[in-house]
Amino acid sequence: MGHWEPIVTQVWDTVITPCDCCGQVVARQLWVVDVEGEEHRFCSERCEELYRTHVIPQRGEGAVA
Amino acid sequence: MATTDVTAQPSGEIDPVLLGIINNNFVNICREMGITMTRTAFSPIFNEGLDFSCVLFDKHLNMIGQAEFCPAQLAASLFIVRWTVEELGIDSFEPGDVVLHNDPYRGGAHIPEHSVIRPVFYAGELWGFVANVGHLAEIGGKAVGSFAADATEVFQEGLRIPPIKIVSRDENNMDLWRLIMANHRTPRNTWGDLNAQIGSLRVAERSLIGLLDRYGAEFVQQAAFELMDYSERWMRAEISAIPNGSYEFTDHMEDDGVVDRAVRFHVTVTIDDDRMIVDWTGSDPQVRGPINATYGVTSGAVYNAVFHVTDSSIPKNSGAYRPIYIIAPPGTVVNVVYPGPSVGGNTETHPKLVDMVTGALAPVMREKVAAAEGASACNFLFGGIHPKTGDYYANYHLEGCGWGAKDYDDGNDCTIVVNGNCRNTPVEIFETRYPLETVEYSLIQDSGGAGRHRGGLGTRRIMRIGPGAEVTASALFDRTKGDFRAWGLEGGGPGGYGAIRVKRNGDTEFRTFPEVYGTVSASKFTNIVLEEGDEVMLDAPGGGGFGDPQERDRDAVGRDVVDGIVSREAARELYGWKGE
Amino acid sequence: MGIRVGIDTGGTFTDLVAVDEQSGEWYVAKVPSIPTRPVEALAAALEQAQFDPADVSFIVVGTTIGINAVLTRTGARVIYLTTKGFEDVPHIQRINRKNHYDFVWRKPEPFALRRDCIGVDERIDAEGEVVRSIDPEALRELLPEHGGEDVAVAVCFLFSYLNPASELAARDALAEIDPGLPVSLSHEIAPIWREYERGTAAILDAYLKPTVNRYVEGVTEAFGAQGAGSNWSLLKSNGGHALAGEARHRPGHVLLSGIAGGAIGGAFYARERDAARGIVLDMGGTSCDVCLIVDGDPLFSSEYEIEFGLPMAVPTVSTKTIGAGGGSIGWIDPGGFLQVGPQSAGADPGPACYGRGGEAPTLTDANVVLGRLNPEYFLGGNLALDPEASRAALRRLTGTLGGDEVQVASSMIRIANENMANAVRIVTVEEGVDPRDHALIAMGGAGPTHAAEIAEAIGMERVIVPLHPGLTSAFGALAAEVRVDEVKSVSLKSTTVSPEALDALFAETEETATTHFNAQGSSDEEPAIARFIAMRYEGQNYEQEIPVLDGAITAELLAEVLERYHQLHHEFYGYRLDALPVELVRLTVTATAAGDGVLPALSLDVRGRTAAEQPRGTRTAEVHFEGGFQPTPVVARAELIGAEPRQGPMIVESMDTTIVVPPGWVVESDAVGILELRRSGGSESSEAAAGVVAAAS
Repeated sequence: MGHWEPIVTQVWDTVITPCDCCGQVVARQLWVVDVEGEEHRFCSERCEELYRTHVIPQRGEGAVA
Repeated sequence: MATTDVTAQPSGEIDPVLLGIINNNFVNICREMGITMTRTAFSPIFNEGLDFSCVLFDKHLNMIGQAEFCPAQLAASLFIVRWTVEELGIDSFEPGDVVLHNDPYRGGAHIPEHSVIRPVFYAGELWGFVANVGHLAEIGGKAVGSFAADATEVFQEGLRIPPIKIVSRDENNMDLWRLIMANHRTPRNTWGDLNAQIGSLRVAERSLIGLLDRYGAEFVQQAAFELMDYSERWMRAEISAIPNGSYEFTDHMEDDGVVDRAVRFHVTVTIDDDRMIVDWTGSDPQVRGPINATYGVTSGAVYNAVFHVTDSSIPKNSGAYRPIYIIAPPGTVVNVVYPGPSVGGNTETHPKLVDMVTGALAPVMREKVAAAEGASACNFLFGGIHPKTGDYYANYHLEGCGWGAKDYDDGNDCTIVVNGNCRNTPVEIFETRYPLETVEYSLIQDSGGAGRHRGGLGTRRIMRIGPGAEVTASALFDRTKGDFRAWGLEGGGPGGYGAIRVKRNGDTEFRTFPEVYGTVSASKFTNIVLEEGDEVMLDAPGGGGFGDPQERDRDAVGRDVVDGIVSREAARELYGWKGE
Repeated sequence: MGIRVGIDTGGTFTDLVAVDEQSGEWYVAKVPSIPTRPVEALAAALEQAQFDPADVSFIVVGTTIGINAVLTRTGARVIYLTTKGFEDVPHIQRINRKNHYDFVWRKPEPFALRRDCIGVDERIDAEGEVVRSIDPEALRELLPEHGGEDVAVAVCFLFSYLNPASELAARDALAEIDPGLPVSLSHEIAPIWREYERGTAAILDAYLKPTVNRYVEGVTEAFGAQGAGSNWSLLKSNGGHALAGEARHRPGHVLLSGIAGGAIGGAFYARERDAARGIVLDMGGTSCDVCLIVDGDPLFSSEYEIEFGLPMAVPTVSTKTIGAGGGSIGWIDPGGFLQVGPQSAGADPGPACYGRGGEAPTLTDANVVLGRLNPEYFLGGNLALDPEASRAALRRLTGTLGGDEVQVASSMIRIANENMANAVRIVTVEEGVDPRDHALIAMGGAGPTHAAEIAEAIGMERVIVPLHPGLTSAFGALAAEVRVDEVKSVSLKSTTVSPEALDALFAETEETATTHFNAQGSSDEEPAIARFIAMRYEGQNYEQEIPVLDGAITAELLAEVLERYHQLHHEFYGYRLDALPVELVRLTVTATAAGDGVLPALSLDVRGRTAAEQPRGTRTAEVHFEGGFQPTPVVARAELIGAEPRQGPMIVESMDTTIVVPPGWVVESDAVGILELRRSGGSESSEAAAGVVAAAS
């Protein structure tokens, strides 16, 4: 079961974290969840679903990351 | 506050007539914003070029309306508003505030594009946001005119502004204005253009409040939810009509301006019942030169392509985007990370990405797609001191390119790239402002890809530096060499090459910039000083053809020959023409 | 003194309005238009009118001959001569696209074939200096073969608006090479910068020369044959009129003759009723024209587009046309939304209720079903409507939309009204004005039926209904004055311009304007001169027109004009930039008739309508407004003259239109019969509540 983790930034941080799956910017909090033994940081639960239902099945066929 | 993807449970009770009326009003508000900007902005890129976009958001950060000015930012603005408000916190906004930023890593398409965002309050409560994005022609950085074609990091591209409150409670924060203007080469234009953008936000705010007065704040929000659901349903229906499967496409940029090596882009478009997943995995890691695409560009390109092959009546709001998933791995050429450069990604990479998505779908949507367009805005930036007035000038000049042919028709000649909607600058305006004389501006024969339907032609423009003038020039083109011209479909031929060449005062021939000035790239360079009597030739690439040219209607070939669109030799060789 | 006549040729009907300047008697006539034989309809209208053509003193004709030739592409073969190197400008155009997500759209075909676009070796620079002068003999070789067809030459050299020398030399040379070949010079048609726009104006002018010349000859002959003399004018795109013999030389200026009449007529009524700020809404069978009235005159623009990408850059009455008319068809889009128009049933087969075989539901059908149109009294009782056919047509949509014919009808009206309201909103935003302090002038056969509800949607509170709203275009032609707009592109800056130089430029332009004024009118009178400077902050690309008071241009006058510009900019856009130089880019001199063009008193009574066509008495009918049918008085228009203001709801019938007064409005007539509708302030209808009601019922 995933959980939301707030992103803590310092004043000198001028960049933003991208989502592990889709690459979108995540401004305030990351959806952190374990997928197949690996911890991932997504932009939302929607992306976790995309990861599970699309990325893993597709990459399993040898697509280059 | 988790603000992404809020899907309320709408009642479905609103009279559809009223729904249509509300939707029209959303679009009209954005249109009014745009018209105001056109009337008041300073940079020709704004008013002749129409390089800006206007959007309307609700307080849940859904886009509920947009107007048709420039497609390049239409997706970027989707994310810019959402991410900015999330980052600053929705409670930090007060009536009369305007937030400004141009950060390419925060949703922007590229650094010259400046977004302004204003909250709209109604009866004391936040109702939503109005925003627009506009391209400022000069933003500092290493090259005049905001296009540093050989930049290797964002710091060289121009002044990068993270989200800041440029206006607080309707008072300009003058310290910020002064800081910004101190770092732009034409600060008066910056002052004028940004004021035009901010002024138009006020027009939109008034109109939105008028709408809420007429129909009620709650009701309009409800209508917005229903409209988004409506768009989503419709988009899902359109996607479901495409056969399930994974469709791949690859294309290249000939170099990145810094390293003379082709750059590879790859996309896999998967149709999975009623959702579409566009995965750019397999694209090269981000490159040194500024042709990297930001997330804003890549997502914009995807939506642009999807809108081209789906029904244009689908109201363009967040709902329409929901069934489309985009995977753009960070650190690649389709999602550049800090501090990688990206200024050329929006004009040169962007249209290629659009074409790649439609190209991938071509086998299953052949009557809805087109062959590749020239896909280069032929960016030519120049500036200097005007010998007659002593004033500094800077200009961002671009060209139209040939568009790809379709199954049912030829491609349009010299039209702006698919992610833009700019107009060219008339020669008479150009020569009145700048110390360059235009020698020729013509269509390039044979530059349209051969096919049953012909690709559109590119143009050739030759300019000469005027007496007493010294012009510092930069350029960002593509498709000038190698095997990467605009591709055709179903046996259609490639479009013609683009080119930028120079003939120095006293020379007899036009040659490439590497030949004359030793630049790394023939299509991407900065800060070459041209002098009186030097001539520059800008060739825009042509569009790809569709179908076997031998099958082209013979009368059409005949007309092309008589009108000089296609040469006799090409007509015989490529089209099998037997006439005189 | 005699009978002054105005004739307007519409798509369906040709209308005539005339007034005896001596006796004050008014006349009207209406005949079907014959698109393929336009002259015949004019003659037929004159014949039907109940006066003796021999008494005619003057005729002004508003015609669609130009625009029709352009839309059907039946004009001349144009040979386009331009500066060498720029032959492709008409084909390249402005490179922008009509729609964003549209592979289908095709750029407009220019009106000169590429093979007929010829480059001439000459060059003028941005200061108007001749860099290379033209060699007239070279034209002989360059001119392509041309014979046995309508041919005309259009000439557009770069910067000819600054220095016309090359264009004038070209015309002289052509006169020698091939006398009789019509030649249009761009600097005479549209002396503005932007070579594509100016060149296209010249091309269109040339394109129309043979067609318009033949028309002028044909009409002159027809009028002569009827004994009406040869004193007649064409209405120009700018709402002025010019003697036909003069206008034939500049057909580009009469391209939009057909729409100018409505704007002039509407402006007349705005002035009659002291509405300095008005919006003309001219709704006919197929389309609705919206035009802004500023200080009693229609707004003009030089940015008219025939279609996207095809500009006609001569001063034109600025109208926005949308596809909303009585014949507009209701249909369901792929997303399931009800839409109205732009497709129209036209006049043939026309709305379902016309009984001519039309099956699609139109706005007229919707109005019939809602009780707003009287099936037994339409078009002066000359056409009986079949309400059952309307209901059947509307039922074609109820299957998908749900509800019954009445609901669909009500929705159609609502959507069409909202479309027209949006057109009005856009027109006012473009000028930076607020529609709510404007009066809506309702014209056209369908305008008065919809106007009040459209006004309500926008928040406007005043509607003016002219006498004979269906004939206002012909009336406008009659009321038109000689008007010349002489435009001159300049390139001056507030920081460096000398008042003397500006004065000289204006004097020159004034002289040209006066010469044209006298040629286009039939007198040597001194025109009234109005002067304007178009200006913008240095760097902007859009100008504001600032009026310049009479008198010599002094430093003080100039300073006043500039101050006015700063003020106006601040009013519209919320800021002014005093420290920035202001560019002066265009001078305009407008020459109009100095006298007030006095017409005899207006009258609802006209010769040309039979007694049978007068509306019948007062009765009560069930009419549908928000919330349902309610008993509504139906009154003849003439009954309101001299009466107290009446509260809506009410239906007012007249010979050529039905005026709908909704609940919450008051209607009042002035002494001659012009109606004004005003919001009575009692209406608190919340649209949202209405929406819920509509959904729930």
